[in-house]
Amino acid sequence: MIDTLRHYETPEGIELKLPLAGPAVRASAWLIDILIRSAIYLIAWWILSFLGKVGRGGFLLMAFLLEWFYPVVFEAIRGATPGKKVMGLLVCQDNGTPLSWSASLLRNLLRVVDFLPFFYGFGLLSTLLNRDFKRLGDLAAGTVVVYAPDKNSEKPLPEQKPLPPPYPLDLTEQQAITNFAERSSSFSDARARELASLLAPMTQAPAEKATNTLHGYAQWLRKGG
Amino acid sequence: MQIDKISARLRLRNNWEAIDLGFSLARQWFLRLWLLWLVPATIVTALSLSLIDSVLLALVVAWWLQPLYERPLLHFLSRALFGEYPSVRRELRHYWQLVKPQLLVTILWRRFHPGRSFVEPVALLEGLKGKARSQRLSVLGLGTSGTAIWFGLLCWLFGRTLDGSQITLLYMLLPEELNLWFMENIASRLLSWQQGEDLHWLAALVWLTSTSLVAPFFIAGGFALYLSRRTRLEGWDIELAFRRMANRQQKRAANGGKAGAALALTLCLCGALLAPPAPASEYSKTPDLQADKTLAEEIAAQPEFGELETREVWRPIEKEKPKAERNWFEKLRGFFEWLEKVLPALGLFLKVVIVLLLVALIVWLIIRFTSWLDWLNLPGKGKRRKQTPPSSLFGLELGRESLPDDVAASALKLLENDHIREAISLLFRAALSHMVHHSELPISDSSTEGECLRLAERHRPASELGYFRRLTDTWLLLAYAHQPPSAEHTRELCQNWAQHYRDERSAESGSVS
Repeated sequence: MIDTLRHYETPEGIELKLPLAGPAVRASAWLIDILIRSAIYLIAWWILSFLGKVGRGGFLLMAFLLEWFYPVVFEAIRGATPGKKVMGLLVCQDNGTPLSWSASLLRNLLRVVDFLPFFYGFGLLSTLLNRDFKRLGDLAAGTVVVYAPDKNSEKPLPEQKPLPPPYPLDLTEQQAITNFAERSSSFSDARARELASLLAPMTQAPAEKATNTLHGYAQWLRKGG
Repeated sequence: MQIDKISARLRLRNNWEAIDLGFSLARQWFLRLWLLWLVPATIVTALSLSLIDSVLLALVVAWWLQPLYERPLLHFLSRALFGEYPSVRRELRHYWQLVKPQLLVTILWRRFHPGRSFVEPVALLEGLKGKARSQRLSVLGLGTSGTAIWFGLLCWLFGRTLDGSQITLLYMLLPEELNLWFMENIASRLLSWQQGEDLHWLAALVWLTSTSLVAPFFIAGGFALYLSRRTRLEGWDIELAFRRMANRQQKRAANGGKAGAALALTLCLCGALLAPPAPASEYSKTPDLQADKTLAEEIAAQPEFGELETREVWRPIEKEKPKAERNWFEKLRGFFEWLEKVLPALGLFLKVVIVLLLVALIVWLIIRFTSWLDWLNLPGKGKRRKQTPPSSLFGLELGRESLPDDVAASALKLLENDHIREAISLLFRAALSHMVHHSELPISDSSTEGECLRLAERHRPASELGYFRRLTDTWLLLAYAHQPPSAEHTRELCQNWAQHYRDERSAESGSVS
């Protein structure tokens, strides 16, 4: 099964699935960061130009710090630079724990290598080749870029009287029924009926009522009887 | 299309995750996709370069016809995803059939749609045309076409990054002597598109390499976006899950027998009719709570679930704090009132401390600075301070007690006993002692004979100086070069010594004794 999840099993036997982020979305995040930094440079240049030579020196110092430590600090403290935040990304360790300062420093100082030979040429090739979309800095620091989890992922269910399923369902089956109910509004009626009729042996209901029966199951699964 | 044969996991993904899935697909089948793109592209590029005189125009034609090379990739992906892997050779044999549908519009205006890898499947896989196609696209593209366009632009940027990388890498790997040649003959000409040169092969090679590397990802990304959109709209993932559930149910029914199923059915129907819900399924079977609990405890007691550990630690018994009845504002005001009382005293104290520190600093600076002066040993300033005269210089005792009362006489006596070295030594020693103790020349104990002479030059009258210089020269020759002076010369030195030093010496010795 081809997928973009990275599986990690904790010592407690819990399997974590990290949804990995690929080069396209990361390039977009990088471009946003570049825009933000350019805006800061423009404003700083305008303000510091009133100070003559001192201002120019200050500008160079600021440029140095911003260019090298902007991603280091943001990723170590908040897990994502503003650009990554906008694109819904997060940097974490290989095992899903928050990024440590040393890892953040390592992965971001190694941008120099990824940047070679021309605007992230090596970094691009590395993310295309690597199974976890890692660039060289990620490989060295043991980090991955993932999609930040959606905080309010629970969507409302269509109103229906809760109905217990005829026999116990395992987790994936429960998820499938809830999923069906959540997304029913985005299907055409015909398609919803078609899908519901696949479960005819379970619902034992005519095609018109099968959808509602499944909605009832979903309500029961989420809220109880 | 059989959804259960799909080789990628179907789940809801956001647009970017869908594109990432496309990247994974492209990596999975990269070699075939790459060849599928490269073979027609190389043929077309080579043809256009050899047929068209202008390099720029030839490359533009090759670039323009990109949809021709991309379509077989899409076809391959749509088959490979469902478990059928057509070989590259077969795809190429049916090349014309794959490329033909809606060819003209594809290479005319649809060519410039950046998100064409997302749009193409509608024409190629669903075979829709005209109004049906645009309706379908408006449904599919809802909330997705923006990402598709941006993704197309990004892929274009990726290609140019790889272009630049190849040229730069070439430059970096060349020996330094060729750098200038490279800049003049290759880089500048590549950038200015000069015609009629062999260079166009290099340009075509670079372009083909980078674009062929990116193309599989571009097509697969767009295809995955299309797939994810259809999964969302048509619930493919749910269909797959429901089919599996139905299979499982069938097996259940076969195992449990028909009687059980019929019973369940009747019970279920009763449950639907009677409210509140009557026992209808296995869910409503009354659970044996006690048995479950003992079972859970048994399981929890197994070593895999860790063990209980009792630890004893000491903790301070905390006194009950008096409840603060004033609110935070009162507290704050109290704090400021207290501050007001304390601050003047604190200020005075700090003032005294600062003044004391300042005085200490000044004293320290004076001590430090004057000791530096001493250390610097400035010629003009040394006089100002009383220096303790050195007790010996380069191994010669200078104390007055070590000298005889009549130096000249003692020296003459030594000379007559043939002790020339001792005689000269005595004279020089006495002269130095005189200069140190009587004339108070600032001679430090680390000075050399030459430095003494230089000091004398500065401070002593010319007559005495002439004598001292002769004496010093004699002493230096004798002491270091072992060239004893003649007896005449020594005698003369002995006799003249008293002229320059005796008077004062005797006057002083009188006062001492």
